Amino acid sequence: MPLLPREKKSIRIFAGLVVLQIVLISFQVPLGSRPSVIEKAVFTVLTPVQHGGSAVFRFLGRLWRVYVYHVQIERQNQDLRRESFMLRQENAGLRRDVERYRSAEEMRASLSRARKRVRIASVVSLDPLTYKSSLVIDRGRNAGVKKDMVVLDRFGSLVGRVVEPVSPTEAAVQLITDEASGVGVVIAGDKGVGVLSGDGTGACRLKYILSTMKGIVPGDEVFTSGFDGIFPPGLHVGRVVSVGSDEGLFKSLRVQPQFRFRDLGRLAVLLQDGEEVDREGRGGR
Amino acid sequence: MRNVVLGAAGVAAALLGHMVLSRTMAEGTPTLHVFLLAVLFGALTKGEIFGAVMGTCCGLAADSLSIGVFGLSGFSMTVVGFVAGLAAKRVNVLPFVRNAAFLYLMTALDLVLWGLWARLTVGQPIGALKNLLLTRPLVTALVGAAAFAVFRWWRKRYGR
Repeated sequence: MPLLPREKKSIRIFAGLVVLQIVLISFQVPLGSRPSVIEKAVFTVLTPVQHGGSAVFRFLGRLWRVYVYHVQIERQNQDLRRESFMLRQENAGLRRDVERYRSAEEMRASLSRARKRVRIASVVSLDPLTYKSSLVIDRGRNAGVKKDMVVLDRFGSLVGRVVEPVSPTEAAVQLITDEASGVGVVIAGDKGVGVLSGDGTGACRLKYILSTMKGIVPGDEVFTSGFDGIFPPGLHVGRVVSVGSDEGLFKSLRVQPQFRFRDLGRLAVLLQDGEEVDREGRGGR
Repeated sequence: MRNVVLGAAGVAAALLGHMVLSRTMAEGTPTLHVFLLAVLFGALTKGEIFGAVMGTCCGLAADSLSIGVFGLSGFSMTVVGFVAGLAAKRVNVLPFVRNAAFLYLMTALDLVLWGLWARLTVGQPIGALKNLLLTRPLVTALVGAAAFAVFRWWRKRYGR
């Protein structure tokens, strides 16, 4: 049966769109994880819609709370929350420093630097396509956020790192639970050094721990080793939840990340050395 | 022109819906595919061309918010938008149960196309599909069918 002109037109448009997608994918594949110009453009144009929506959402929530509770109590509460957020980050930094046996002076200097190096960000949206792989935060180039900066949760545990695209006002973050991620880690008590990556279900696999390593048991804490050159050493990553059989060259270890997905409302981005900004600086908290 | 405005409104609604979902039920965000719902809504109400164009726009929007290969979701959602528009012309998928079954099939088709295309083009690991294959079509179909039912009721009552 011959096709009607309208049906022919539909098929032509559909074929054109499919070819467009294939061309886009062909451009992307040789670039690897680097986003293409088109992806950067789409990201820059669309994320402000969510950013704006998110701001409205927050504003409505705040308005509701202000009406329900007393204005001053709400203000105090916000200050306390902000302070508590910073204290948790300091606490995490302190613990890291203690573990590295730093002197008191060094620790004091480090703490004051840490305060300036933390940029608080809110989550705008989570990855819509895959499970626990990435998210978008409401801080971008204007706030000093750059690719490969480390992202922590409000308790100072490792969440992931900033990846491209980074627009002036938003940035994408790859979570440690992403299958394509890789973090150099060490099991507490020098029980082994390996690489952590996501398993696609929200947990992580710890790879390249030799079968000959003894004494690894469920409950062992996992920290960043710093060997990857991206994540600083001593960040709390998670804990071992299962140790598989030692049949191959390497052990099969499953790690539950320390951060909880439902607690990812606010995050801390660690600015790199030389990126320190004043508390009231641009894109301030 | 009206279709362009409707399409842009659909993409904006999907973006905002996804943002609200991310803030309110973080654990379940990938299980409800709001971008695909916008595409299917467009395909069922406006036909296959509108569905395919919406699929391209919403797919690329979803791709830009994800760190996977840009264009993978655009491809799968373009195909699903076109197929859904064509199928809706030939079969009545408006009754609730049939609507839910149709949305279930289309969501599963999108997921399978996306997974296969990702595997074929870049050898992307698709471990996440194991979890999503059961939950995403079901959740998206039920929520989508409920939204369609509310929309039909609203249009019957207040529409022209």
